[in-house]
Amino acid sequence: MPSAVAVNKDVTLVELLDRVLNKGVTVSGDIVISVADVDLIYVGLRLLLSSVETMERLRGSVAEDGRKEPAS
Amino acid sequence: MISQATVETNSPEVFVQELERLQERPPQRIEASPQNVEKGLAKLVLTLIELIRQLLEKQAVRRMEAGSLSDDQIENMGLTLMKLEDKMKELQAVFGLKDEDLNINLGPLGDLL
Amino acid sequence: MTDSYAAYCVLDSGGEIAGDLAGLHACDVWNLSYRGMGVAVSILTKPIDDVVTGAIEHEKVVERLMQTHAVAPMRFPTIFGSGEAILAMLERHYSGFQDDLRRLRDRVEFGVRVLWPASSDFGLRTSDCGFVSLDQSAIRLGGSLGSETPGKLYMQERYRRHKHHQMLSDRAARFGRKLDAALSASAGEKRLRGFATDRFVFDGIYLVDKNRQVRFRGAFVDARSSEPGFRYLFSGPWPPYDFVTMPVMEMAGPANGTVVPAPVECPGLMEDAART
Repeated sequence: MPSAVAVNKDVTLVELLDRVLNKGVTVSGDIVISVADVDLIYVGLRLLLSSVETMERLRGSVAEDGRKEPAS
Repeated sequence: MISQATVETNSPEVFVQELERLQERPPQRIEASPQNVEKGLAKLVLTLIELIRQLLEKQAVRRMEAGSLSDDQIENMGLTLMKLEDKMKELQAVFGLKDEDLNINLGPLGDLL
Repeated sequence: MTDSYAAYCVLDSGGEIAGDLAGLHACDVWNLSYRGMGVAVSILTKPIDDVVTGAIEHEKVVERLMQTHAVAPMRFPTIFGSGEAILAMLERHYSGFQDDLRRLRDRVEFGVRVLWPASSDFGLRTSDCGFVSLDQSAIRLGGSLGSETPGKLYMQERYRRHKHHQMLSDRAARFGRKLDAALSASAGEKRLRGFATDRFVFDGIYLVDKNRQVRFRGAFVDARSSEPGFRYLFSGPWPPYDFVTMPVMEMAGPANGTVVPAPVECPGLMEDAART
């Protein structure tokens, strides 16, 4: 399929800025906790969510009566 | 010329839009300063509760799919999760926090690393 | 105001920088060096108020220096309070910077980003992306589809949503593995990033030897043609900003940010009406 070789100035500029600019580490789903304007703690919610999922997969879940269900 | 790098894309406008969305999104900050520590902490707590709620929901759906729940259990689970969701919205309203404030939208692909 | 040292990058030389290279605010670019390794800087006497212009000027300096040196780029703006602070940093973290320079020598960065096809938008429809109607899977619930009790309706709706989410996740994972495998063969280090917005399917950056750029792009072109319909972006070659390991921003300390306002959203490129 044809693709436009973008010597499209706008998209080059946004890519440049996205790369070169100093910005916080946060992306959607993350939190920075700061005290008196000093960023102290970075909570990666996605990471947390994913780690829990991985744990579940590895361990399998235990049914109410104690039977082990297969890991999903 | 801006740079020696070039950008090749079959959808320049959409990418510009998406990349600008990235840049416009300010980091989610919990401010724990004396003036607004309550709101900051509320934000944190509600976000974590929402995270747990989503995990509960996901787990409930999995149990349903595995066929290990009776009709009654499904009904009760649904009612409980509904109530939980309503309660969350109430608390959000109390603290004046919108969904975006809580990063609730982790995106449908949020758990894919 | 006191002078500020705006830093561009670390380089593998203690020598002078060519005098015809103009940096931020058209200032000269100097090399502050320690034991054969240096930081390219400009001394600013007024604040940076135009972030976009500054970023472009910064990039031009880094690219120019990359033509003749091994470079570990710094992001913009990176401001130090003094030359002494820079030299102290080089001395204290000498081997760390050396490692970065060694890893990044003669290498460039490429970014590959992919968005879902325009037609998908998380709708439930069959398409060339392999989405399947969810109504069939809902039948698996083993009860009547038209159940009225509120709890069950809620759970069914959640189930639908989760199945959809799962399908998208699986599709994205398959897509990503395939694309990454094709690109990795022509690259060294890489960073596969999480999905910054819900339209992203893939967001990867690759460190590529300068003399393998053509091969790398060829791999991308082939991979793209094997998965049409998606929206692709291929950008580079860039200085390897994302493969620097030394946390220079933290070392720059309190001086950083005093010249320029803290990172803010960029002025939009599109006219105001386009903002959501």
